[in-house]
Amino acid sequence: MGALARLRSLCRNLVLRDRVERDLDDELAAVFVALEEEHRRAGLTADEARRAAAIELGRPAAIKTQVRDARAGAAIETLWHDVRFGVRLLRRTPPFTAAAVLSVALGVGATIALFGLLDAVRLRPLPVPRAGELAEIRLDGPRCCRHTGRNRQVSLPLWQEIERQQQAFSSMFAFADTRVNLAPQGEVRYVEALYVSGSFFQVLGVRALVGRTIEPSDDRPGCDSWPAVISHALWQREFGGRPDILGQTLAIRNGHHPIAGVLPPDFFGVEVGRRADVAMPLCASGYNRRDHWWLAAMGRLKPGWTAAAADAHLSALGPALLNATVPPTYTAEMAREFPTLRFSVHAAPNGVSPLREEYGDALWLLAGIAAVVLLTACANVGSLSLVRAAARQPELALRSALGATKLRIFRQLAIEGVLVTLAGAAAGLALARAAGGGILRALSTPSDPIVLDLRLDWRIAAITAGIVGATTIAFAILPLLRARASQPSIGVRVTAGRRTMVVREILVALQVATSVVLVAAALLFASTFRNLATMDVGFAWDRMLVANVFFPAEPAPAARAAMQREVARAMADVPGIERVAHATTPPFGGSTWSTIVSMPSPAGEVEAEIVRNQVSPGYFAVVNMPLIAGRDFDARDTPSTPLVAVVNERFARTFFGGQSPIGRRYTEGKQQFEIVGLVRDSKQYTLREDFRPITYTASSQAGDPPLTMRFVLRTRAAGAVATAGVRDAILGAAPGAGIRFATGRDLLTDAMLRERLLAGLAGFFGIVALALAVVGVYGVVAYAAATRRREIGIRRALGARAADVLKAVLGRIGLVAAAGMAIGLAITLSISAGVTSLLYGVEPHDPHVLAAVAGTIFLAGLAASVFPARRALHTDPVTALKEE
Amino acid sequence: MPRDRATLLQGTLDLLILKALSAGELHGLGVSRRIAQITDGTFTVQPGSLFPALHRLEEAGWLSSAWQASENNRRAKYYALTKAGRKQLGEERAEWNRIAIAIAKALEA
Repeated sequence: MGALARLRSLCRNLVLRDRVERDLDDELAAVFVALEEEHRRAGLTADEARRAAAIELGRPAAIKTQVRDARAGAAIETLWHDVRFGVRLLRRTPPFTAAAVLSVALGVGATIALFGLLDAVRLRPLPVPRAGELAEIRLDGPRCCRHTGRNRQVSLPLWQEIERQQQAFSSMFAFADTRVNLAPQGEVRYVEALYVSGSFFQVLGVRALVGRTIEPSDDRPGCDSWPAVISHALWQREFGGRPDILGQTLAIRNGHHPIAGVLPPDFFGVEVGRRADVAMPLCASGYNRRDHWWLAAMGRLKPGWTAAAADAHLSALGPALLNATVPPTYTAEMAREFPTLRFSVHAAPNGVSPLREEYGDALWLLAGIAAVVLLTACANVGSLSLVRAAARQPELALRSALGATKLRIFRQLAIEGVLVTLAGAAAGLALARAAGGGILRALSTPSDPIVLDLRLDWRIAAITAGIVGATTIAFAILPLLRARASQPSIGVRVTAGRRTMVVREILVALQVATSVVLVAAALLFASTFRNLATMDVGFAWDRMLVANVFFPAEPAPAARAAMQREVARAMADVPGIERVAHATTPPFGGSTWSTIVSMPSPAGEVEAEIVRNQVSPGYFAVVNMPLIAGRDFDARDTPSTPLVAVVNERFARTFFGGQSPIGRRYTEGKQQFEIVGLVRDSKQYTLREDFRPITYTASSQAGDPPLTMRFVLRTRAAGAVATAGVRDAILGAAPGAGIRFATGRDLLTDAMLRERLLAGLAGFFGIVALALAVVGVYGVVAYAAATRRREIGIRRALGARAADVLKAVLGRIGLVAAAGMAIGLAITLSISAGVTSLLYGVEPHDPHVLAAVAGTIFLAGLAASVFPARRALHTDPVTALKEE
Repeated sequence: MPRDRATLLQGTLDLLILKALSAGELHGLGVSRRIAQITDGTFTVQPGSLFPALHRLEEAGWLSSAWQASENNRRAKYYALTKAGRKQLGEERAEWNRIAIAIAKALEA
């Protein structure tokens, strides 16, 4: 079939439904008359002839149904035909198709990936029955008398007291996250693990896939043999999914423990972002003291109880529970304050998640950015469609001249829109998968792995594709309005409809506005990242290596101390290592040690919570923290000499008004320390924190050597460090020890994960938005220049100056871009208040940032306009005039 | 009158309609009569099969139709082969011959 015949067949298909029906009625009536006449001529009477004709023709209604069915079948065929035709047309214009599909893919991919993350982290309920009943209990109040940390709220005796006394929950459970080392010795291989109360799995309603879960009978006080339950992932990974898994044991915590069961694949625990691979009963930990703060408590609310009601109930019950469990180690003052802590209950249908607290705002923001990218992509597809439509005006006019109705052309154009959407959405889905996984990998660190189930949410995908599809189709058919406006005539003219031109200008303004917002976001987050990355943290991280060494429990404390000294000496001999020291909490190691100190002051006795760190002599030199006054710890400081401390500048300024702290004393509990040195301020836990008062005490004056030592090494050169030599040195001195390394750079990188993610993604989206806007501006300028070639040619021929011509071509687009920029800046300023907590050292209304944004957009717009404008300028008047 | 003495093979009706129209345009009833004539009455196509087939072929672009005055001055809808229809007839004829020879060979073997 030739193209013309195909067109005609398509046109014929457009005959309206009632016309088809009427035509068919007429045809059958005519056949009836013809039959009747035939029979009459054969000699039948009029009556007989009519009856014979009726019999021969059969029931007209049945025939009509069959004809309609035949036509419907043909309609599906023509639809398929339109699809193939559309594909061919799209393939004939690769630049348009690629740009449109890429725009859709970016918009759809970004939206699905980020809303998918948001859903996984914030919105999705735990995969357990009736997750809506779950609530967690927290303990709030002054930090006088307890340690706080991730999911660490209550002690074991307090938890038992809560469980016994409370009325609001039908059932409760407690758990604590931990990790276990699966490597027999050398560098440790951690997997995430959970200590769980015997009720944990029953209350959650999780059944084992193989064997059984941890049961109440497993969790007896003082148990020394206990079973472990492993995740489906660990079963597959470590045991190759072997069917006799229940006969195996797990070598953890200095013992071999039978594997009692395997958990179902979708169960990850109750903490979103983590997947526990091993579950053990609470008694396996040995933490049963009243001052061991390590458990998180959750439960199912009784029917009719809300979290608020449970909150009121527990806070009323609180003092009694706390009074019953005051740790005997507490001073009288702490014991007095302890019962003033307050319980609170929070609904937890999505489980608990520090990840959510840390990244929740950032994820909302990124999802917002993704939505803006989607908007830009829609605007881009719309504006591309209009360019294409202008080029197709002759074809559409020809079709309409050949009798194609609006409906018919509408269908063809809509199908092309759907094809672009489908191709873009498919690419977007692939992109979303890769991006989601990539973001997770970027956020995960060896010490803090993040595991999220990023399954595709079809609702999000459908809504996203729907938005893009609707836009694409809307703009695909917009040319139809023009097709009607310009009636087909013999000389098919290319006309620049004023209306579509305005629509295109609005789209370009929109694109400029969104790219202003996204470029501003990119610059703000890039500045934040740079500010944090280049800030003075108070110590030299670039040549720092931290080695966490886990000593075997075997040698007695005295022998262990000798072993630890030997390890330190061996490490110092490794080539490339300059100095070795150790500290209980090296900076950015993920934990701090807070303590309450008191000291005399002019206003009487002051008490304050400060950060404490216990370090070995030489630590300050290793981390390059200059000693300002006094001395470092040395051989004089032993367990039998008076306790000494080194404090930082903030400590001195806060408590001694900036006077020299040397020789002054403070008390911590029952111990008194004399301050012998003053060091520079440094950050200890996060980059964003202000310098805090810190006191350093001497490890040489502490009691038994700990099982875990954190050695801090100063390397000769910055950058990559060969840890193999250090590991061999450690194992040589302490066979069977577990080791974990982290360089200073690793620690800092971990501390800036969120900033890195925000800067990276915002930067990427900023570039994408800018590219889309450039395409949009280019399209409009090129189009305006092309449609005005004749006019420009004439004006040039009549002696117009180049500047005037440029003004004609660029004047309007300049206005459009300026309007878009103003809108974008207004939006940026109005939404930026919500993101200040994510920024550091830069304000959203920072004039430098705003000027840089405006400059970037201006340059991009200029670049996009230069080529089409130049072409317009160099138009040869004669050619331009001859063309028409 | 022998009715449907031979069951039409799938697709054969289209071939017969295209062949019937190859000599010139006919109205619906004319197509039916012409088929009866060229098959010596072996096939009589009932209107219930004929009209859906005509419309389907028209949709496929192989037939065109127009209202004209009939031989005895009545209005009737006439069908004619399009260029594509003529090409289709050629293809279907070749296909049919191939099958017929194959079947005949198979039966003689």
